[in-house]
Amino acid sequence: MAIKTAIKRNTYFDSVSLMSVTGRANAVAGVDQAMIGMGTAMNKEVLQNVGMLTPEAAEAQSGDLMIVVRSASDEIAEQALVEIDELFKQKGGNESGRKMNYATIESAVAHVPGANLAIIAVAGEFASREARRALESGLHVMMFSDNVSIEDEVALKTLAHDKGLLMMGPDCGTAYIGGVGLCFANAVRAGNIGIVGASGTGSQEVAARIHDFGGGITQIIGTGGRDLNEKVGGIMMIDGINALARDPATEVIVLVSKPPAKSVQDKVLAAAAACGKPVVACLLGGSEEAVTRAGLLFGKTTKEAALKAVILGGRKEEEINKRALNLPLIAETRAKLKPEQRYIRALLCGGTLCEEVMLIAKESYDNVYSNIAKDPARKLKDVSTSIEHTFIDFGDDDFTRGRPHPMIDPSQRLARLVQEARDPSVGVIVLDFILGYGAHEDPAGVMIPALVEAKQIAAAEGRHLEILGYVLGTDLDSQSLAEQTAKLSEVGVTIASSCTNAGLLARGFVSKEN
Amino acid sequence: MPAWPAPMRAHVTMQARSGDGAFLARVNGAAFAGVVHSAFRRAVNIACLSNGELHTLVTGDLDDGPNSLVVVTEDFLAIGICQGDSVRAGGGSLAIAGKAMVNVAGAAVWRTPVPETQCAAGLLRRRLAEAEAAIWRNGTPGGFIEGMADTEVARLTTRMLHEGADGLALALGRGDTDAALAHARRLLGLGPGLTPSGDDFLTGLLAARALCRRQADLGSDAFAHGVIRLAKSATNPIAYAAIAKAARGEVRDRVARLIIALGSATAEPPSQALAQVLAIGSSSGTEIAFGVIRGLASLIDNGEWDHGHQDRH
Repeated sequence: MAIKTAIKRNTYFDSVSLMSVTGRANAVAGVDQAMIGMGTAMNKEVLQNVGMLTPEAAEAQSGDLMIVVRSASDEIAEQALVEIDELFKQKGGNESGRKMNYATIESAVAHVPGANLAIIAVAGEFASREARRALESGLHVMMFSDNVSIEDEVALKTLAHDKGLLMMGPDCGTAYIGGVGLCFANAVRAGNIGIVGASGTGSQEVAARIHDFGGGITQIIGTGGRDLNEKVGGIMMIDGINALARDPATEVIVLVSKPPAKSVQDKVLAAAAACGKPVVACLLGGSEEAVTRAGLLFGKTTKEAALKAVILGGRKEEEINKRALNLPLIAETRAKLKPEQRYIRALLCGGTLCEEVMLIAKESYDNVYSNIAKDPARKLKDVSTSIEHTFIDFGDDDFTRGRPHPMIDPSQRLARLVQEARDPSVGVIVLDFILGYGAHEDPAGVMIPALVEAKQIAAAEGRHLEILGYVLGTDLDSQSLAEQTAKLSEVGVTIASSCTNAGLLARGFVSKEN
Repeated sequence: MPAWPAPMRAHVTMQARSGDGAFLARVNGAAFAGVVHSAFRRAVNIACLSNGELHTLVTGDLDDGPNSLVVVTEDFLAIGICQGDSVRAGGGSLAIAGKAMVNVAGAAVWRTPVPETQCAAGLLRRRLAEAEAAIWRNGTPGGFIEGMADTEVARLTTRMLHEGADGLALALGRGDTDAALAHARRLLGLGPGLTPSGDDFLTGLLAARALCRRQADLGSDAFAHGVIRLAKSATNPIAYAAIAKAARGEVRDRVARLIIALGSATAEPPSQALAQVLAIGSSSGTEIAFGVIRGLASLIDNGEWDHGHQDRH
């Protein structure tokens, strides 16, 4: 008789599967007997007693699965092991968990009858066609793709609106719908606050702050960055507000965007005012007067918007750790910098994070430049060279054409960090590290060598270089907020507790006023 | 009004319906880090990084148990949870590798139910005899009951299981701890299934003894101490976790309810509770039920049962 053994190391199948496979293995043609069991000493003793203990089985551990087959020939035993392995694959590869590929939206809809949302992430020239197919199949759409014409965007959003569906995007990177984080999102507590966001990292930041303040999230509806453009008219923002107004779990709504076109702003604020639920509008750089005139609460910063929403949601203000700004740290850092170290260099992955930090700097300084500045006079002509206070959004098209987003591929930012460290006029470099679904698995760790090098460059020239880091994440993110901040602290990075505080600290560090 | 999209396969948020009090306290309290030790459709075992102890998430159709949370979901594998996924918990939520999050707010706190009263020894003996007959009639073949596969391995395994169980029951009945441990050693890790049949038997036996002994504390039971020590290296971590908890009087809800149904003075007939236990796993429920029977019988045999038929607490 021939005996063949297969060992599945540290492998666990449920008992029902094991019993089922054992029964079927013993029914394989030509098999005298098959034993399938955990590699414990007693099971090996049983094998020994029936003459089936092979050297491989003898080596098995109690967490290993032993498959031992006795048959008339080696060929039959080998074939039986193949068949048994196939049985295990069937058991392990459960139908609903198996990844399936469908050639078309229509095919996916036909095979997954419960599906009601499609994520479109194809090249821009094909994205509109696929989104239209999805909408016409009755699916909500989140379109990660960009490079879609504004005419197509208007047509798709109008179609979605008419069908009572969500059309999130184009260029929508963050949503959290029905408890599901889509594309880039953080793991947050469930709660009673819904967000409609025209900016991905802005929505992430507000959601993370809400979580940190003890609140929770119902939904994050992304609109795509152009939704508040005059031509699009805020179709998705308004539909999103109305959807949250009817969502029974949502008690407070937060709007997050850069300032909209005036006519669109009026429409959006009017819709928000009429929705019947308290609304906090965080229109970064926008008009507080317009917001309050509409009867809404104004969130000047993402942190302020989150705080107001959490209090509206029922948390007692006195019980919230508001993460007050560390004023002694500002004085301490100022004292370390030389008089010529006057500038901020912000090298950020998040577009809205860049916008907010820059806005805070602009409140104190005129000489603020960026690759995303709207003022042509303040827009960097050469994005590879910084001027005075410079704020770089590495997620902008300047850096992402044909390349992955910096939240996934940090290589360009690594080189730029070292470049900025060589500039003796730089006082502080601001970096963000974004955690959550879809982000790099170790965004802090991948930057450590460059951070150490940057510090060494400055030290060799007798300068203190302040590096200010902000980790956008929650204690529930898989990357571990605590571990990420600890890694950065170990190499001398100062940690800000929010994007808003990062802006305020950076501005304070290089201020030469007393 | 758009209907909210249903959760997709990734990044799913789930609600815990109920859970072991100690596990809930950990999730509600300070940070807890772990890794998925093993994942099945209806259960996920999480090894705590600080002490290696297993914690379990089970689907909503299963019952509460030690170190377990009952989660309102139907299939963990469909979410993509797999062995090696990182787990973090704290502040009321438990997150698994960016794939799923379990919120525990509002989850009912569960603790192993304990017998409030004890029936007379004579009544217990009758109930045990009836229950054993019912197990032989309705139990699932695999370990103690032959018939799953007519092979030399299966026959020998069944014989060794019965020899071990009989020897163990006799040794416990006469209070011979050393002999009892020698028999338990030969049951640990013996038999088919993820939790080998001998382990399931010991889980039932230890739970019954721990919940009904006159001195219910683990410290006074040298046998239970000894089995925990032996099991660590004799079987896999999943079976070990069940044995270690059972020895401390912590066991799945439906097993505890069978023990109560058999041993309480005012209990309902145990047939319903027995059927619930027999439905566990493939043949696991059958082996556990046999263990419960032998565990309770051993308490009568060594004089630890009949102590006045009074309220225990």
